[in-house]
Formats: sequence, structure tokens, C-alpha cells
Amino acid sequence: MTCDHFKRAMFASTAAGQELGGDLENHYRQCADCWAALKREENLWGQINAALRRRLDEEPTPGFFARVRAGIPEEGLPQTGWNPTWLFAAASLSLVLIFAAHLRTGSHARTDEAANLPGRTLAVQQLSDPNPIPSAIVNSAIPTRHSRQIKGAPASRRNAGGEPEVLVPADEAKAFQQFVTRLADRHEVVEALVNGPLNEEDELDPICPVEIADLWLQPLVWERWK
Amino acid sequence: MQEMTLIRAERAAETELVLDLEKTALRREFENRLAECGTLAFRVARGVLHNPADAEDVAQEAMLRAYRRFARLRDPSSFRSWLVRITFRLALDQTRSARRREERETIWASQAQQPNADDAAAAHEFGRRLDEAMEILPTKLRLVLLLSGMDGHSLEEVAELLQLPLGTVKSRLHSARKRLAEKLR
Repeated sequence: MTCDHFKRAMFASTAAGQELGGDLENHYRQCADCWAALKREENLWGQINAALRRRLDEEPTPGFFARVRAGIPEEGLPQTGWNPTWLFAAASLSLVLIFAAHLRTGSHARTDEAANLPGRTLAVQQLSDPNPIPSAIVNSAIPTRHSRQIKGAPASRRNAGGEPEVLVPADEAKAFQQFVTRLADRHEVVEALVNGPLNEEDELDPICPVEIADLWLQPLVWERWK
Repeated sequence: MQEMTLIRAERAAETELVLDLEKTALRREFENRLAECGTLAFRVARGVLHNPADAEDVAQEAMLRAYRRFARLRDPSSFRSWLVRITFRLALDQTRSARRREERETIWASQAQQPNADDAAAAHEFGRRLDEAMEILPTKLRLVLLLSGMDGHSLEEVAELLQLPLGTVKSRLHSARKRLAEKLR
């Protein structure tokens, strides 16, 4: 080991406040240069410690405690962790959050309500049924409502394909889907609906009326078009 | 009706009395804590600030802040720890203020001209260099160095005060002393 190595080890020992030992001490006893460096280092640490102690062991002036006591407000109790400004801000924020949560819950509840209304589930009987009209509706006690926007819900949303999606209650959407499916199977109904009979002498094909919920579909009577 | 009014008035008076007693007890408790920790706060501030008067101002401010939060700091160990940290931070803030620094340097310059003895001049010169070396130490190292330099503070106590593991305190102290010696060597 060179003197530099010994010096570095010595600096580390003195900085840590440890005593030199073993090889290090033997070297310092033999090397005058390292011995002088050790003495300088010890002297430096003596000065540092003395300077720190002088400052850090100082006492405050006799009037210090009296001044602190005098500075303590007589009336005001120490804070209990909430000052009025923060308390007010927290209360306001809580109210806003509660209100927002209420609105959100209310809109969900209305959606759920619309989806779960008794009698809103439609079951359209097969159109080939010989007696289709009265039994086509499972429960017609509650009148069908037209599509409407649910309060608190956005007027429209964009679906994944970017097309605007009209928000309708779940039951009405289902009924409409069933209606379209039925119409797709019955071209003659569509033609009758769209075109009407071409001339009044033509006989209409016998068409079974379709009823979905309260929507009653039947062949057009030509006289009503005139 | 009159009886009810009297009962209500008595209850209000009792509540007020209880509040007063609580307030007095709290204040007395704080004053005890002030007697225990006031010197510690002053010394922490003094370790950072060159001027004892500034250190007293900072310690006083720290104690008043502690009083305002005393309801949350009634546990003695949390109180001491909090006080040391807030005092140190306030003292650092004060040091960083350029105006205050100028004032202090003026005071130090005027004090430096007073002693004639060579030893005093050398001690002052060393003190100035020590201050410079300490000011460039990272704050976390500096606080450990100050607290461990105070008379009667073992490393275990410093660790408790700063709510740090003992190993962390030891390594910070070693690092601080090494840097200080490198700067002053």
C-alpha cells in the first residue's frame, strides 16, 4: 500500500470518529509524512468539533422564553387540525361531490327503472299464429312510450363506428328491433305500408295484422288514401 | 319555564368552565414542552444562522407555530421531531433571504474587527470557512451533523428525533463529516 492509500484510509477513519488500528497505525509510526498528515487531520477535526460545539452548545438569552410565552395568543385555543377556511372549503367540496353522485345515481336508477318496468318485455307471437291479435301482447297494461331522452343522459352518443346513436330505453329499442325483423320477413306488409294498393279494384292479399306492444299494424284501406 | 332557563344557563356556564379548564391545561402542557424543547429549537436555529438574535427569532416563530398545531402534536416525541424540522426549515429560509444575509454579514464584519488577538482572528476565520462549508452541505446531511454535534445527543437520539433508521443517520453523518473535512482541509 502506498502512502496515498494510508492517507485515504486515515481520512475515512477520522471522519467516522474511529481510532486508527493495526497496519494503519504501524505505518503512521514509521512514515513521517503520513504522521504529519494525521496530526493535521486531527487538528482539523479538533477545530471543527470545537467550532460546532461553541455554536451548538450556546444557550438562548434569558428573555427568550419570556418572549415566546408573551407571543402565545391568550384567547385563541390551538387549532384542532381544521382552520375555518379549510373547513368551509372541505364542506363545499363535499356538497358538490354528494350532489354529483346523487345526479349520477338518479340517472342510473331511471335507466334501470326503464329497463325493468313490469310489462315492458315484449314477446311477439309468431305471425303465423292463427289467432294473433289479442295474444300478441303479453302485457299491455302499461302503454308504450315513445323514445325519449332520459333526463341527465347525453342526447346522443357516438358509437364505435362513429355513427350517432340515439339513446332510447332498452325495452323500446328491443321492440323496434323485433318490429324490423318481422317486417323484413313480411315484404307484402312493407309494400302495403309504403305503396298502398295500386288500384281500388285490386284485392289486397290477406295480411295478418301485426301488433307489437300498442303499435297496431294492418293493411291500409284504400279509401283512407283518397 | 324559569327553572328550565336556569338549568340551561347553568349548563352553558359548566361547558364554558370545562372549555376554560381545557384551555388552561393545554397551555400549561405547552409551556412545559417549551421549557423542555425551547433550547433545542434555539440550538438548531443557531447551527444554521450566524447571529444568535436571528436564531432566537426563528426559534420563537417555530414555537408559536408548534403552539398553533399543539392539538396534533401532544405526543412528546412527535413534538420534538416536528419542532426540530420546522426550526431547521425556518432557519434555512432565513439564510436564503438575501437581505438578511447582507445584514448578518455586516454584523459579522463589524464583530471581526473588534478582537485584536491572533487566536481570535484565526478562530473567526476558521468559523467563517466552516460556515461556508456547512452551507453547501445538502440539508439532510447538515441537519444530522448539527444534531449529532449538540452536546448530549447520541446517534440513537438523533435517529429518534428525525424518525430515521440508525444506519441512515450514521451514513449521513459520515458523509457530512467527510465532505466538511474535504472542504476545510
